[in-house]
Amino acid sequence: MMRALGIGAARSASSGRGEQVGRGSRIGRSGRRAGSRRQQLRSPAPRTAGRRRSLGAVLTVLVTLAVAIGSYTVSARVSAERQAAEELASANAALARQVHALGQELRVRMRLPQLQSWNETTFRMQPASARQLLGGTAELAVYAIVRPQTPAPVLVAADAPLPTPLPALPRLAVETAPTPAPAPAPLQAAPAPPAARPAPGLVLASVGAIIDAAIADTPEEGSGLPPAELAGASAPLTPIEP
Amino acid sequence: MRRSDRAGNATPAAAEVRLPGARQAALGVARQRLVVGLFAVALFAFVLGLRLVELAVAAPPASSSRAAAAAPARADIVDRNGVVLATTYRAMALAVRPHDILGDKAALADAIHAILPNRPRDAILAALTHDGRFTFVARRIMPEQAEALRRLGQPGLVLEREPERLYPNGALAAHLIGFTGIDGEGAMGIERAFDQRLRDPRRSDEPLVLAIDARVQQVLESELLHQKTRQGAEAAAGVVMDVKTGEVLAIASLPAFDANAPGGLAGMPSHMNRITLGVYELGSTFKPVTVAMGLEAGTIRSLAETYPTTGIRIGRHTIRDLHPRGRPLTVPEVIIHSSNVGTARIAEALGKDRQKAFLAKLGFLDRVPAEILEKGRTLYPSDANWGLSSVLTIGFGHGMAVTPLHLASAYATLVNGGIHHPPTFLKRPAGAPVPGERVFSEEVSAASRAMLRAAVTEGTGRRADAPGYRVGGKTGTAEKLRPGGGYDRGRNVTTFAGAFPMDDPRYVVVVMLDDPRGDPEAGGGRTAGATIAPAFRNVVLRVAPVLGVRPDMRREPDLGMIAGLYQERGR
Repeated sequence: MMRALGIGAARSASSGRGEQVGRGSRIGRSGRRAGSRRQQLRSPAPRTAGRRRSLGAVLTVLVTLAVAIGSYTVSARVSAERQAAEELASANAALARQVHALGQELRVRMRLPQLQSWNETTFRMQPASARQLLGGTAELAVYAIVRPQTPAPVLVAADAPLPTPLPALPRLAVETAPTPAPAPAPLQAAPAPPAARPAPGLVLASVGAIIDAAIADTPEEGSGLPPAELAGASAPLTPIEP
Repeated sequence: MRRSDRAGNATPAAAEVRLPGARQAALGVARQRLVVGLFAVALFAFVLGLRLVELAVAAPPASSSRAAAAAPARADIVDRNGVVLATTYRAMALAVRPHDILGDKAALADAIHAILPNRPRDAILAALTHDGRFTFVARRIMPEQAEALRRLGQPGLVLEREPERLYPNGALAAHLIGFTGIDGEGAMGIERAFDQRLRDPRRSDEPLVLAIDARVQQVLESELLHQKTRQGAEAAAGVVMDVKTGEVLAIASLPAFDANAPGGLAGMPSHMNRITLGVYELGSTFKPVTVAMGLEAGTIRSLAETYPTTGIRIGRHTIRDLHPRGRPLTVPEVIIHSSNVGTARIAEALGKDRQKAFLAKLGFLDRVPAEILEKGRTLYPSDANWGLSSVLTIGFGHGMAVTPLHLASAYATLVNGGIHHPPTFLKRPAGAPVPGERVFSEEVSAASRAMLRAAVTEGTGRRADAPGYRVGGKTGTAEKLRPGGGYDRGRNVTTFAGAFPMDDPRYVVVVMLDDPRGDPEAGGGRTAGATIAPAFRNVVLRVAPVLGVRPDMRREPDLGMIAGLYQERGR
């Protein structure tokens, strides 16, 4: 490359006589420089200059080394950070693939034909019919008004005077009885006879029974329908008319 | 003494006679070249330094990132609610390099067949003894099968991961979604029509959103399958369309196929899309369209106008009513009682030119303008053969064959206020203007809605009435064509086309059975009212709550326009 640039030719031209001719062309300045060099060779100054040059070279080497090491360190750290980031991205990608695969499996398992098959064989759920939906709160209130008669209230019995101390609940009586005294009646007969006022514990049971009875007689919540119609609504969805 | 060469370069002999000035000039040139060379070297070093800084600091090129591997090779297809209808996963495939196989190939084929029992042993052996350097043995193998194959320890067996298309719902909407071929190219339906879009790597993360609603699709398919089985029909088809946008929410074509294992050829009956490719004479479902044409053209001056029901003789044929009423019928009665003669009279008054112009506006003369490529050409008489006979028969739905999607689009135009929106399988962006062209006026549309509702409450479509959903529609029974020509009286195509709720129509449903044999438990009738109308009702009962249509037992569309013009049932 240097030969191509003509440097070789310049070097050959500047050797031998050519160099002398070149000096001769600048005889004024070079003569002065040659004089001062001779003076320097004779004085102790050249040693200092040599040291300076050595020191400069050492400094240059040191600075170069420092820059090189520093650059390498920075480069190595950047590379390490990049590798870490890439590993993280790779882990993210792997996780994304796993999530994707899991989603695919779930989608396959919950495919609509399968859900319908389960519904037809097991769940047997059906869409709500028009009669099961109310137009608003007013319609709901109408259903409350026409609610079937409930049995006579029983909680008012608490206001009545208590003639005798109330017997304990059957279960409690069994647990707290110190001695198995001969009971006048079996525990199953503990509830008072119909004519007698029920004890508090049995009152609660009666209320529960009454509530159950009321639930059985009143429309299902939100359906707005008596039970008979609800039963009709749960008929198969796809009857074919004759 | 040396001399200078031909190029003029100085030789040592010539240098001796060179003048001092020439040497100075040569030195100057040499210094210039040196400076240029040094500058070039410095520039090169500078560029190298810049590149080093870029490599050290800047982000790495995208191609080197392994995260890019997570991107799917083909974009997903989803329904209008984001339910995935088609996706891509990396499946295992077994390939073989036959020349690298060690040992007995027949024994190896037995071992592979034991692991892959669905793959015939002969096919495996053929692959193992293949002359080429590489061939596939089986695709889409399970991970445990791949592990068992790996344990065989054969160096000639290659287990590869390759992208495969997965349709989570199997046969659901298979005719619309389609499937991909062995090399991943779209082979049918949306997969084929949007192949470039789905393979575009810049849009691989962006799913293609269809107008389909998977829930509606499931209901439509299951109800049609149920009815097809009960009626012993050869085939069934159905479509649900949004009347205000033209979006197709569901299309069903039975028998169907599993898109995960399509098999066979695209010409098989199970692969035929009867909604866009099959063309049928849709019979009486066409009558409301003819009546609307007459109203719009002004040839029907009043809905109270009456039409005689005596037969019309055309050449060797006579047009008669299936159940003659024996008296002239008003326009609503023509629809309610499905009078062939009355509709033919209306078509006659309309004339060929206006009939053809309306049919063209409704898209009956062209392939359906939907996105998929499997679209059938509609059949109608040539201009020279479009005489009076054709005008009359087309008026009541014979002599012209169209797809069920054509019919759904026409019914949407009838009930939505008179604007024809081209059907689409892609979800329209919210708020975007919907393309459309007015075909009928608002008044004609309102009259059509009233008559369609009356046809259900009083006419042949009573079994299609879904309580609370104000259904309107029309039955249609057309005899099938014989392969050798003429009509087969024993085989029908029964259709019901309707909309709901008729006080503010939102959806059109068209359902069809091909050659129903009749259900003995349901009386054995083979007309549309007996065979397909119940399926329409069941579809509406299940689909309406999903689509947010509120049932109301006390609400009815305004039938004031036709009040007193027909005899109500029970009076």
